[in-house]
Amino acid sequence: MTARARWGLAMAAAALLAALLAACGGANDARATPASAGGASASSTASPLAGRVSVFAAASLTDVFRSIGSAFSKAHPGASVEFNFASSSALAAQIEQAAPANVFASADVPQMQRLADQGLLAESLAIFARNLPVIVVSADNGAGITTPKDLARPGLKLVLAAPDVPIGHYARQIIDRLAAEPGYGAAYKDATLKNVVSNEANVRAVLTKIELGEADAGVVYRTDALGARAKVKTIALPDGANVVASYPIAIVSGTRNAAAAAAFVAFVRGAEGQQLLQDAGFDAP
Amino acid sequence: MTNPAARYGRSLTPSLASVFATPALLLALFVAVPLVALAARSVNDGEVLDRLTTPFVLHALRLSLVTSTLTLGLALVLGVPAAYLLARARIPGRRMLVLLVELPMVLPPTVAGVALLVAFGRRGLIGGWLADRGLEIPFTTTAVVLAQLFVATPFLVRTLQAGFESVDSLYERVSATLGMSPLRTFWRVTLPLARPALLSGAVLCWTRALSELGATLIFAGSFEGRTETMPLAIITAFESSAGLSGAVALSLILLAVALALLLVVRVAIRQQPLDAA
Repeated sequence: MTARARWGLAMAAAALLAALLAACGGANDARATPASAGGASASSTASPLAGRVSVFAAASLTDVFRSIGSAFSKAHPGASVEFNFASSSALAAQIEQAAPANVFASADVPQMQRLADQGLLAESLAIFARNLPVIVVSADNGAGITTPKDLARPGLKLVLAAPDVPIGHYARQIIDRLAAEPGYGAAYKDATLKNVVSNEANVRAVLTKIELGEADAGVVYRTDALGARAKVKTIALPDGANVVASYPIAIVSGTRNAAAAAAFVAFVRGAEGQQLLQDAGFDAP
Repeated sequence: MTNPAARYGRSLTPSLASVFATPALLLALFVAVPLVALAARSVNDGEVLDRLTTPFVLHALRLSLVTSTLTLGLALVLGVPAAYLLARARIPGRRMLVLLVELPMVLPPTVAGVALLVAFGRRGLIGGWLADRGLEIPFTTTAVVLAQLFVATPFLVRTLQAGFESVDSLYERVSATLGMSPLRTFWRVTLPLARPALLSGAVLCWTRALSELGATLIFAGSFEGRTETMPLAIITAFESSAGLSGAVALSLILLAVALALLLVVRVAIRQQPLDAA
């Protein structure tokens, strides 16, 4: 082999090695060993915690978890949190494919249970918040929707999340319950579902379509409607049609940085986390 | 072989070959391994084959084929004249027009989706006017075609423009002296001479339309049989309880379609009768 050939081979090998190292480095960051975490925290005497916690959280938690994340980092200067926000069903699918998640916060129990059934959780799930799915229309309410009955009007454009997405599932439960209410009738369900023009990927996508006025009505969480109250209006549901959304949280199995992950879960369930959740419109568990 | 220049003909020098072989091999492996994994997964996972014939998959496949073919048709009708003008017309602002054509190629499709929404949405620049007249585009199959047209047409126009530029205008002049009308000359002489570019441009356009995701998701939403094309269905399947099996099944179909298309085009281009031009 000539010198040049050897040089080329070495360069290629180095490039491959660098790529592999980068990949491993990323994984190590998310799942830092307790040993390395201890070493890093030696300099910060205030907190024994260190390392990065990778939190996979439901899209409806986007804003409140960012606040909780920065409060957590303030309380534990050695530790940091990184988030992956998407629909709970998307996150569950990613964790099934071994995505480097340390903590999973879901918007419904079935998506969490789906992971528990496969032994992918390191602990049993704990409910940390509750929320209320609501019907929203755009601020100008161009379609003149005043009651949930109007959702069955022919030609109306209704946007829901996909049935596997928690808010999409809750929305269909609400429609089922409405159909059982006096004055709605069995035809209500079919007529309403016929008006669905899109099954969006997550609750934020539904909210955006309503905010933009591209669709007439949608179902999002009360917290989302609160966050966008300048752009959307909520349509009241009869008491019997309400569905409560329960948010479970758990540590994912195989998490090496378990101490920091447990601290984050405790922080969410603790006084400060709960206060931030309630400020955002969530109910206590 | 004493003359260094003699090393460079059309042949490859052995030392250069050995240096370049490693990165080239790495690249080949990098592309091949995921494709082989996809095929292997589908062979091992019995569920995958069962899912190929579910209504969910068939609806998505049909919608994808129909919309991407419509897109190609529209792209040809609008794009062939545009490509010819860009290749031949000495018009002011030609460079700006070329830039305009190239922009959707480098733009993230999600940006295209947002742009289409603010233009053709119910509250959009043109969409608002259309909505007042009872024509609402978002969440319809029309929106899917528009999204595909926006991102895919430039691939046809740019490829074909290069093709027209390489056609020697001598043939067109000869055709004119033989009494053929300019339109007939274009149809019978120019276009056939640019056939390889037309074919590869059409394939690029069609496959780009077939794989369109970001703009469709934002502008057209996702609804089975109406706006949920194959790439959107792959996401839906991946996130559903069907999980990876469903996503693999759909991916496999798209892979097969793409592969078949590439082979067909290779054969078609090789049969080009006027290759010497």
